[in-house]
This record gives sequence, C-alpha cells and structure tokens, in this order.
Amino acid sequence: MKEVKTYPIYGVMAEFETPHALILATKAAYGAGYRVMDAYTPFPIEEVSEVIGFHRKDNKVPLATLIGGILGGIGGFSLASLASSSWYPLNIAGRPLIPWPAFIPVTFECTILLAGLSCAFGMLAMNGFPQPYHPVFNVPSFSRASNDRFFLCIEARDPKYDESSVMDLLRKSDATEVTRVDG
Amino acid sequence: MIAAVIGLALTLASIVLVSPTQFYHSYLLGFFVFFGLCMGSLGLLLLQYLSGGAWGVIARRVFEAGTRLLPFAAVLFIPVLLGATHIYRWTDPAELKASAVIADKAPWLNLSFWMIRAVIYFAYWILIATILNKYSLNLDNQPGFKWSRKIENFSGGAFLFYFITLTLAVIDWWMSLAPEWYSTIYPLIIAVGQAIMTMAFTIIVLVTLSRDEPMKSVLKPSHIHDLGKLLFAFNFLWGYLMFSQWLITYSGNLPEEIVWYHHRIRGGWQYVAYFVIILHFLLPFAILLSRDLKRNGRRLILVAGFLMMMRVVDLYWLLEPNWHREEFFVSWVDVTAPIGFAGLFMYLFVWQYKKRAMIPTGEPDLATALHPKGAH
Amino acid sequence: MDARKLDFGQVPIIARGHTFDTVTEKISDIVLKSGTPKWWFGAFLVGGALLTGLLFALTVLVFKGVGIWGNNQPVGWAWDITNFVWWIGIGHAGTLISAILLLLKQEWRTSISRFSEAMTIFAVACAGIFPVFHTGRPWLAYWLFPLPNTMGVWPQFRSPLVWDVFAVSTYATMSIVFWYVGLIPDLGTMRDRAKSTLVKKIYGALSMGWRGSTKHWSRYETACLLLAGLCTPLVVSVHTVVSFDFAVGIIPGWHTTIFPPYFVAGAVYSGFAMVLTLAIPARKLFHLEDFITTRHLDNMAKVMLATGLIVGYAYAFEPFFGIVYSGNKYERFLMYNRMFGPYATFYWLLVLCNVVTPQFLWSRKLRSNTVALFIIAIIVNVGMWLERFVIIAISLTRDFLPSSWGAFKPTIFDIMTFTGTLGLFLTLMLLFLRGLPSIPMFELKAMLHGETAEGHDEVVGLEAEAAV
Repeated sequence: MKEVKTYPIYGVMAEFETPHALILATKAAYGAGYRVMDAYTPFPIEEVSEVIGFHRKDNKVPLATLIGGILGGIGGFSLASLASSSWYPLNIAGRPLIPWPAFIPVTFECTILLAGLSCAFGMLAMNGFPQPYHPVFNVPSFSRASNDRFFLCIEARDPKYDESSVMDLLRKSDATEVTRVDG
Repeated sequence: MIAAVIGLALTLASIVLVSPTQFYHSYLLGFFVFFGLCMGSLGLLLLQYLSGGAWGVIARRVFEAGTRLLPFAAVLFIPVLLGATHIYRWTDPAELKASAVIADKAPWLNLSFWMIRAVIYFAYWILIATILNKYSLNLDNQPGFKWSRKIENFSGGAFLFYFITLTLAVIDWWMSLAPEWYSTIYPLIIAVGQAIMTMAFTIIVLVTLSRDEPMKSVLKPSHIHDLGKLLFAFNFLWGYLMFSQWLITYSGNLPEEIVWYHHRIRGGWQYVAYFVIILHFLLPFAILLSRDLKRNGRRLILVAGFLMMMRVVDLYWLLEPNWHREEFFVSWVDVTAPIGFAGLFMYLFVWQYKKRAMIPTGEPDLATALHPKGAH
Repeated sequence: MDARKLDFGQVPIIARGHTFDTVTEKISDIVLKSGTPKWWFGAFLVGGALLTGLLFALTVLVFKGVGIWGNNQPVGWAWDITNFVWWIGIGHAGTLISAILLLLKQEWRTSISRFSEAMTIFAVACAGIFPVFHTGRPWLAYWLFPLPNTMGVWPQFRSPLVWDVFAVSTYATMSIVFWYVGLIPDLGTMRDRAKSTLVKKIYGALSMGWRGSTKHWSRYETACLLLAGLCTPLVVSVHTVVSFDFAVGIIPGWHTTIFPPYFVAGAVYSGFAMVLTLAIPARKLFHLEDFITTRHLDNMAKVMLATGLIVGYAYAFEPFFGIVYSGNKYERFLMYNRMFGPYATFYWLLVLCNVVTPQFLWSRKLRSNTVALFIIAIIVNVGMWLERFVIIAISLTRDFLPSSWGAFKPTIFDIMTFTGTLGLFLTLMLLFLRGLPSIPMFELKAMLHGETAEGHDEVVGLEAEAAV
C-alpha cells in the first residue's frame, strides 16, 4: 500500500445493501457529531447529500456557470463590435458599423459556450478531477460502489475520529461489512 | 366588474367624444385582449390534453372556462366587422388603385370573403370548444379511460385545424392591417403571445384561489413551478420568434418588408420598442430564471400580472403604427378599451369558472398529477 | 397506475424484474464481453467501404478543387449544403432527447439518451465536412475563426455564414462536453468491471477517478441540469442560424421569416427519424428490448408525427403566402417552379415522404409495429433530405433573371461524398456501440430506485385526492 504523508489511515468504511440503510447510518453518524465523511453510491441520491450536510448552497457549479456565461456574452459582443468597427471597419451599403441585431447570434453562442465550459470544467475541478489515486479504492469490495452497493466512509481527518468508536457506530447500523481504509 | 363597466362605457363614449375611427382602433385592441385570452385558453386546453402532465390537470378548468367565452368573443367581433372600413386600409377602393400589391391580393382581401371567413373561424372554434367542454363533463361523470382517451384522440386533429384557422385569422385581422406587408412567422408570434397572456392569467387565477380551500391543498409549489416554467418558456419562445422576424427583415432590408419596421422604430415608436424588449423580454427572462421565484406563488403573480400588461403594450406597438405611421400616438381610449375588455373577460370568466369543479375529478391521472413531487 | 398503462397498451420504461446488478451486467457486457457479433463486422465492412469512398472523393477534391462537384453558377449551393443541413438536423434530435426531455422530466428518454447524443456528435462531424471542403481550400478553414493575423483582416460578423461557424462549433463542443460528462460515472463502472488490466487502465483514465462520492454526485447532477439548460436554447439557435444562412439572403424561396422555427421543427423531425432508424435494429441486435421498449418507440413516433405536422403546416402556408398573399411575382413563380418546374418530381416526392407518410403514425397499431415504424422513419429521412435539396438548390436554379437561370446535376463525387459521410457515421456508431456503454446505467438505476421508493409516496397522493 502506498503511504499518504499525514494520515496513514484514511478512515473507516461501511458497506450497505440498500440506499435506505445508508441514509439511516449516515444520519446516525451525523447525529453522533461526525462531519468529515462521504458516502459513495452508484447513482445520485439527493437525500444522502442532504443528510451528510452538503446542501444546495454549498454547490458552486451554478455560480461558475453564471460567471462564464456573463463573460462569454460580453466577450462575444465585444469581439464582433470591435472587429467590425475598429479593427476592420467595412462600410457596406451604408449600414451601421455596429448593427446590434446581427451580433446577437455570435453573442449568444459565445455565452452558451463559455457558460457550458465553465460549468463542465468547474464541476470537474471542484470535484478534484482528474484524480488517479484515491484511498477508498483500496477497499476490495469498493468496486461494487459503481454497481449496486452503497458505502459510507468516516474519514480520519474528522476531529472526533477514533477508530474503535467509529467502527462500533457503523457496526451497529445495517452495514454488511465494516473495513478500515488504508491511506 | 367596475373596471369593465367604466372601461367599456368610456370606450363607447369615445365614438362621440373623439371619433368613430379612434373608437374602432381602440376597440380592436381591446377585442384582441379578450380574444387572445379565449384563443390562448383553447390552444392550451388542446395542448395539455396532447402533452399530458400535471400542469394541464391543474389548469384545465381555467382553460375550459376561457374557451366557453368564445361565443362572447364572436359577438364582440361584430363591431369590428361593422367598423372594418375604419380599420382596414384595403377596404378603401382608392388604396386598391394606388397599390398594385394590394390590388393583387384583392381575391383574398375583400370584405365579403373576409367576413365569411370570420364566420367560419368562429364556428369552428366554438364547435371544438363545445365538444371539449362536453367531453370533459362526461369525464367527470364517468371517470376512467373511455372519455380521457376520446378527448386525447379528438385533440390531435382539432389542434391541427385550430392552428390553421388561427393562422388565417391572424393574417386576416392582424397582418392585413398593413396590407402590402407579410411575414410568414407573424401568425406564430401572435399565437405564442396569446399563450403568454393566458398562462399569466391562469397563474393569477390559480394562485389567488390557492389562498382558500380546496385549491389551498391542491396547488403545490411544484405545480406553481411548472406553470412558472411554462410562462418562462412561452415568453422565451415569443422573444425568439420576434427576434427572428426582426433579424431576417433587418438583414434582408427589402423595401416592401422593412417599411413595416420603419413605422415601428421611428417617430417615437422606437421607445415603445425598447420598452417592449426590455420589460417584456429581458426583465421577465432574468427574473423567471430564478427557481425560487417560480415556486413562490405570491411573487410569481406579480410577474404574471406585469407580463399581461406588457402583452397589451406589445399589441399596441403592433397595431397602432398601422394608423399612425409617422409619429407616436396614444389616445386615452387605447387605455380604457383594454381595461374594459380585460374586466369583462374577468367577470364572464368568474361566472363560467364557478360552474364546474375546480379540478377535473374524473381524470385518470389525477392522483399522479396532484402528487407533491409533480409527476411526469 | 398499472391499469392505465395496460389500457393504453403502454409498457413500462424498464422491463420488470431488473435489479441494479442486472442493469449493470446487461449493458456493460455488450462492451466488455469478448466476441464481437458477426453482423457487426459485416456492417463495419460496409461502413468502412463507404468511408474509403469519402476519403477518395475528398482527396480528389483537395487536389482538383470544388469543380469536381456539380455546383456551378447559378447553383452555388447544392448537395454539399443540403447534406450539411441534413446532418446537422439529424444531430438535433440527440440534443433534444438528452437535454430538453431531461428538463421536461420525461423519464423514458433515459435509455435512448446516450445513444442519441453519440448520434449528435457523429452527425455534426459528418455535417462539418461539407462546408469545410466547400471552401475549396480546407487547409485555410481556420480563417473562418476570428484570429488576429498579420493582414489585419477579420471575419464579417454581419454575415450569417460567420454566425454559422460560431453556432456549429459551439454546438459540436457542447455536445462533446455534455456527452462526456454524462459518460463519466459509467466509465467508472466499466473500469470496475473490466477484467483485463489494459482495459481497466483505459476506462480508469477516461473516468478521471470517479468514485461516486455523494458530494460529487450533487455537483455532477447540477452540472448536468445546467448543461441541459444551456443545450436547449443552443440546439434551437443552431438550426435557427442555419436557417438564417438562407433567410437572410433575398432569394425567393430562401427569404421567409418562418424559416427559423420551421427549420428547427424539421431538424427534430428528421432527427427522430434517424434515432428510430438506428434504435430499432440496435435494440434487436443487442437484445436491449428491456430498456428500449415499445413505449420508447411509441413516444418517438408521436414526436415525429407532431413535428411532421409542423413541417406540413409550413408546406401548406408556403404556397398560400407565395401565390395568394405575397403580391410578389417572384415568390409566385418560385412556387410554380417548385410544383411544376423541371424539378417538380422532387417537390411532390418530398410532400409524399414528409406529409403523407407520417399520417400513418396516427394509428396506435402502426406505432407499435417496429417494421412499419422503421420503414416510415427511413422514408422521413429521405423526405427531409429532399426538402433541403428543394429549398436550397432548386430555389437557386431559377431566380430573378431568366437569362441567368441554370440547372443542377450531381456528379459521382457528390454522390461519393454523401454516401461516404453515411459510411463515416455508420463506422463511428459501430465503434461507439462496441466501445462504450450505450445506455446510461446510473440513470437507469436511479430510475429503478425512484420506482421502489415511490411506494410510500402514494399515500400522500391519495390524501391530496381526498382533500378535493
């Protein structure tokens, strides 16, 4: 096993068969005061992120998208206007140099493009991707996290972390298996 | 009610006070408000049967009541027929002589054929409205699939002809106000405008009703959200269509087409245009982007009410420059007429709406539709 | 609930009896199990052969110039632009299914969404070939972009052709991004299921280390919804801008304001026809009937019918405006030329394909008959190609001055380029089906989860009903 400098132990992981069991266990762990934890599921379950304490306002993806969109819109219109009015002005049949209706399509496309790219890459960056190595993959059964099993991991970084009490807490839940995760 | 009486009385008085021509012009504007709400109701009623979805079940009775006012719209159209010579330029033989284009259209644009067509349109609309209302009542009495399926099947074909007749009506009543001009997207713009107005009206009605039972427990935030999204979508669609027409005409710059815009972007009319762009499109667009606002009924009705008002301004911008091409013009009758007609619609609507249960109880999808999550 | 479905002859979106595990297994096995089916090689051979033709035709074009195509004055835009618009239009259904139907909470879209997005990307790739090679000097195609250069020349932003460059390249980028983002969790699944180390490494790298963390899911879902929200107006804008290419010009038959919505409807129409053309054989050959049920086919047929009627509406009002209400002799002649001119056959064929054929879709019975549906979809594909050809090329043959009238005849290179893009499309599609999970597994699982969780919600619904 590879060693991560500060925390040789990453945390404790419990495996569940149903989303329901996972939610109950997460609630219990949150109630017991643990904060640094994460759940792993094969598909998005809104309730899990709610009980784990990750709320809608913590999610900054919309903000990134909005900023990207605004920049794109301003950029697109400025590009078209500058190119046709000062960088390469062309008088065509006396039409105005900045005919705003004609620039709307380009402005619009640039808005969408930048908003979309900031949304997608913003999401990836905030999630810390690409991330080739992560300790949770050291748990052998974790390969089913992308198939049909649900996992909860309480991390060693949690100030309240104490391996044996965490183990006890998780064993009391409906977990089919509780394992230590090496860092 | 009071608004209706005062508005209509003042409008009528304008025949004497101002001039019959002004009366007819303003009357047309007011009539289009009334008519737009009826036709929007009919269109959305058909649409919700075809698309399904919770919003349709919730709003169906509002639309139905709106369609039952179509006979009134037909009656209210009579003054337009009578005043056609005050309203439509192509009725004037001198114009026919002056313009080869108008003369060319004479086989279509002549008073007798025009009136016959109007009768046919109304007959068709009233017919499908009656059938839909009857079927819907049958569905209440015999819940289940028999009638709901029958309505669905009927709506498909009915919607097709609804759209064709509406297109022709828009050509006859709106587009021919500028008889030299034509734009193939224009009927669509008007139709979507009617949908915006009706959607806004529906939101106002439902949210207002939800202060008391039974609507209080029926209308969930998810329903309001759906209605808000539709309002947003229709308004966006309207903006898109308006812009498409403008950009194509602007870039093509053909004399026979661009002149229609010249009358609308000069002599003071351009301010009305800016007003419409900013307050009818951009501002509601920005506001309705917010998810929280769309779920908050009390705030949503403010936007809806504002949009209804802006619909009138937009209609005014489309209609009025046909008669006042050089300079901005507004008469007090142009204000009283829409208020009068909107009040009249409201009054008749309440009377019709009360006749039936607020929710179609026989609808097989009812349980899913009333589900708080808002079903598919 | 169930009673209604049975009554309507509707089948559930996922066949009964599936669990999370069986969904994963069934879909990932298509890719991961060794043994490529024989038909796949056969189809690949056909695709490859056509693709070779494309490479040959384009090579000749690069050496000799666009003169090898049939385009010539006055018909400057012919098969090339027809094919461009046709392919772009086909791409639109993919975005519609993946983005718009997502926003509309139409759950049935799930199983066909990935597949249609792939179709979008491949169709846009095919479309892109035409304008780029139509420039005659494809190696200078980067001039289309606003790049600072020593000559100080900039693109003409008042021109719809420049708008088109922006629209199509944005569309291509966004489609790829949206598609890839949608793939990430499933790539993680593939990584976890792959047996060989190399395959594991490849999928592992592509999945970027996805581990299904709930915080990631939360951001991920938001991003998908936002991307869908952005793609929806984008897809409308793309075909709108394509329609501007024509409508902004003043040629009769091109310059009409209905074009933007009409092109968008036509795009969706042909796109759904293409999805059906692909989905019907694919579900059969890969035994995906459990996930692409007749319910999907029925819904797609309905969308096709609806958009077909919109297109029909435009066909009906084109002559009305042209002949009765335009008061313009050029417009009138255009309609006459379309209906009775030298290319009248194409016009009537297109009416037959696009307006008459979809009327069969009113019948519920035909909609559930896969063979009939497949045939109708093919006819619509042909019809939509004809429509673009009639609008683009035939309008150009005879415009204002009879002295500058002309005709158009395709050459062998026109044909090879077109069939070649069909080959390219087929080849890419086959590679996709074999190399990537063609149905979003995680979304199907979320749907399964939603169905089982619904049980206790039912009570709430009943309470609300009692309140009425």
